[in-house]
Amino acid sequence: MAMNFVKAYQFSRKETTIHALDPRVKLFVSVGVAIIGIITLDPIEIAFLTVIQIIILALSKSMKLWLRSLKALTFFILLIAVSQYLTTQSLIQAIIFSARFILITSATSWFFYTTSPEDLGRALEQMGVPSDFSLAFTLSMRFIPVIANEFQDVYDAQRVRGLNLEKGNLLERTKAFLPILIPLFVEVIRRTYEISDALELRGYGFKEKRSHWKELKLTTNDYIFLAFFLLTIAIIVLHRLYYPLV
Amino acid sequence: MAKISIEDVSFSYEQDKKNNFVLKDVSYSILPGDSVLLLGPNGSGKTTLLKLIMGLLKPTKGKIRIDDADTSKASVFEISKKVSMIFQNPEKQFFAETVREELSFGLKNRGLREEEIKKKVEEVAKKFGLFEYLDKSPFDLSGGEKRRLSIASIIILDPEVLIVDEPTAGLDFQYRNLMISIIRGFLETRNKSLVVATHDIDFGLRIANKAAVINEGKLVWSGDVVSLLREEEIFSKGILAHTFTSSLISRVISQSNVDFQKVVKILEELTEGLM
Repeated sequence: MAMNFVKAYQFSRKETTIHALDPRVKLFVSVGVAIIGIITLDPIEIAFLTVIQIIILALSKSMKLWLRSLKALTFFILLIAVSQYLTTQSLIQAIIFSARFILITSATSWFFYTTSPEDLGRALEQMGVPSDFSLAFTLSMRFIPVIANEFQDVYDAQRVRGLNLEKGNLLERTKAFLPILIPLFVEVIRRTYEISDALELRGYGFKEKRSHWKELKLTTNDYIFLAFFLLTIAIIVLHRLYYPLV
Repeated sequence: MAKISIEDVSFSYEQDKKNNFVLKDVSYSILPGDSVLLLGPNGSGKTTLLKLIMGLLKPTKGKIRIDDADTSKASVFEISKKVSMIFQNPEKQFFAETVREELSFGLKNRGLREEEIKKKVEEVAKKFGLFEYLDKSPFDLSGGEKRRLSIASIIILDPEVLIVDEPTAGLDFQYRNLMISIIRGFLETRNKSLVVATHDIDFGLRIANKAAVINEGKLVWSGDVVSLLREEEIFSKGILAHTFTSSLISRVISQSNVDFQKVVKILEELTEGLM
């Protein structure tokens, strides 16, 4: 249950051009597309960008993952469509808003599929984020699937003791989560201490400036990818100029 | 008492990759009174099989029946009325403010009356040496007390079939022996059955009368524990990591006609004498 949702954004190691790109470039493009997705309301632009996202997903061999994540997000997609329809009475509006949501999640999902937490941390650090912050960020990203597994374990253990989450009114159901959440928090806090001990044992924080095993450097592929992205933006700007949305 | 039949069960964690099976065509029956030792190397599918019996996972192919009920169609809540499971590291499930509350959790979920719960809780607490801690926080108990409490919170449900996953992992001799006496105590009631997955063969030999061996998701052997010890192919080579005691028992019974239970008993007395 918890796992499906997490898998929607989980990194999977593969040998593709997209995986090998510089994480900074990927971050820039992915955030860029998401921002355009948030700003635009033009169906043609949304369709155009979505097609490009699909091409990137295909290049990174992540189509299956993406389809699965869409399945996990169906509820939200429908929620957006229905609420839009109810408030605006316009079917087109409802479709545009859910398409926008799909575009934004696609742009962020290929980024997470193809970028390992370590790469992301490295990118943040080289972009000037203090190393403590980037480490904390990387670690928390990395522990999402671990915690999801832990959640499943505790949930199973309490179900064996007769816990039923599908019974009773809203208040009762919320209360029924406590026997899962308390052990989960206890375990997470315990793990946090363990990790900080393990980090210290291996000399973390001993030197103020950390050196890196791998320094990030832009390659030809990175420039090509960026060029394509800039071309995409140019096309959208031109489209705006010649066919402005009324 | 409950009978469990596992019929041609295959299971895959990834629903879209149907050929990536963790378990392949497993068939086995657990009859009332059986105490089954489930053996197999790490990653062979033991825990998955236990979760399937408990209904926490549903078979990808095949069926598991508890008496006549199909686990694919029954909720875990329904199944938990007959079958219960002790997980690896069961201490992780604590949430209540007091030991009393922790012990009554399962009974409350079943909707028992207050007085009945109180009576049962005190009875089980006495049996597990937890009576004086009833109003303490479960998080304040020592390691061994925590383990006892977590097992007591399952035994209190009085299941017909008890499933135990790796009960002795990380336990010292004292708690290992405690575990044995708890499980033997459970099996004293007629026709209760037990399935225990473990790497600890010495431990297993002291509580089980049947054995099943899984390797790479397939059931490769099943039968009486005694005959397992005579299976040179499985027992002494490869799949099972045999320990000193189990090898000794195996050697003794394969070279003479002595009674298996007697050999185990004698060795037990000897080891207890040593400790």
